[in-house]
Amino acid sequence: MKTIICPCEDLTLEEVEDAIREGYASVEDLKRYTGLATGSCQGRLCLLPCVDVLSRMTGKEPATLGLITFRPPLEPIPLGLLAAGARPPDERKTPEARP
Amino acid sequence: MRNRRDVVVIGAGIVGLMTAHHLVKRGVKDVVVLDRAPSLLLGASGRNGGGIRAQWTSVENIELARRSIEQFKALASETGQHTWFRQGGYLFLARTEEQLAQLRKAAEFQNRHGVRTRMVGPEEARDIVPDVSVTGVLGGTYNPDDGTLFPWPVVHGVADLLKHEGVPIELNTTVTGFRRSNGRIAAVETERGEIQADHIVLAAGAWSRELAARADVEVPTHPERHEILVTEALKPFLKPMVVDLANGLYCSQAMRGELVGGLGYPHHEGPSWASTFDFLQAFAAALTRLFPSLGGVNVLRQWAGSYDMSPDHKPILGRTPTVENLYVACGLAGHGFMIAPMAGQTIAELITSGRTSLDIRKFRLGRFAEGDIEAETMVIG
Repeated sequence: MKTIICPCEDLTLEEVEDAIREGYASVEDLKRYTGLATGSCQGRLCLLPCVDVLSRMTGKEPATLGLITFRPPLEPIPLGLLAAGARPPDERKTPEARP
Repeated sequence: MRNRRDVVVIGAGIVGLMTAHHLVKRGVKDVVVLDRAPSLLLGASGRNGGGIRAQWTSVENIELARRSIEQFKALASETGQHTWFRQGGYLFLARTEEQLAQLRKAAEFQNRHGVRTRMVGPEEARDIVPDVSVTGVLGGTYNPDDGTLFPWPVVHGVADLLKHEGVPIELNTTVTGFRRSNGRIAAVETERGEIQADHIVLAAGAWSRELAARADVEVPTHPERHEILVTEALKPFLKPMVVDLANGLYCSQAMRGELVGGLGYPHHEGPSWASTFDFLQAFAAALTRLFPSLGGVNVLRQWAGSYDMSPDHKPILGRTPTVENLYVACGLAGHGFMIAPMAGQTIAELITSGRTSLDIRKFRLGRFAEGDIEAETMVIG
């Protein structure tokens, strides 16, 4: 039987444990080595189980392990919706993005 | 941490790691790589789009890129990690006669130097990328040997190789300065103590200028923030990296299925990692103009990284004129990842034999003071 830890990227618990044994022993390293938390849920499903495994295998307190940097957008947004709201360069909201 | 090494490499990005790798290949094994970050891949090496191309407008850049592509081809078997390297080509699209003429001139130049770039009309562009809208596109160039890879396993793979070869990568190690003696650096000073070294390699990306200044070496680069994003995964439909010269849009489909891309944009002087909603909107508008069928595709994640911009957009590679045992590999202007194998090899060759297999005169730091510069024009993103 396999335990799936990251359904978006098809990662099993065993694969994450292997990665930790190979030395990828932080949440940020695991993300970049296994692809964990890079799928469509952006870590909502997999991160806490991942911290749990990491804590169990390294003996570190979960609270000391940290998570990943959460990136925008908060929810997936379709390109078409974003494009419809695109502003001409001189009306951009961020001052430094104006020409 | 040992306090004496033959070579200290500052920066555990792909350029520093490749330098260490090529030193080991040449028998120099007493090497340490330092980085102030707590993990690998937190700088530009982990933040770029993974494009690899030989479509450049100077012989030096073409040679750096071509020979680097050859090394990337062999890297997965060398490191045992799949690099997702795929030669789907780069398709540049022009929307004005001026851009088209620029591409034609570049293609002729590249052909003379062994790159298989060819001119394509709008219809042929559609043959290469069936979903692209060629409305307003006059033509473009395509080099089938260009490609993409996934930077993460490349960095992890080389780092792993180094660990097995006994080269430590010391993370959480900030370089604070250099102890000088008779025009040389006697030791690298870090927050964790001093390391004496025969040779010092500075490969710190956007932080190189600041570090070089601590050795009284002026490196005329500046950091520039560039933004990038990734979409949800789609079934494979996009073979090449596509570049729209109208706005500097670049976009490719990685082998996991997701689209990765960025945009020419008024870039903020960095180093900074802030993402903006303006970029998200401007990129979406540019991409859906080129691919109207992608309107329903979700953006998953956006982030930013720092280019280390040199005044002529060419690398600065070699020994510094004023400190004889300090070597720099910086100013890589957004194409550092793709030339890292040859940048690393070149520095390793200089350290071990003083000679390089590539003519690197055009990359010397002294060119700025001497006024001997010709700008590379095909910088995108």
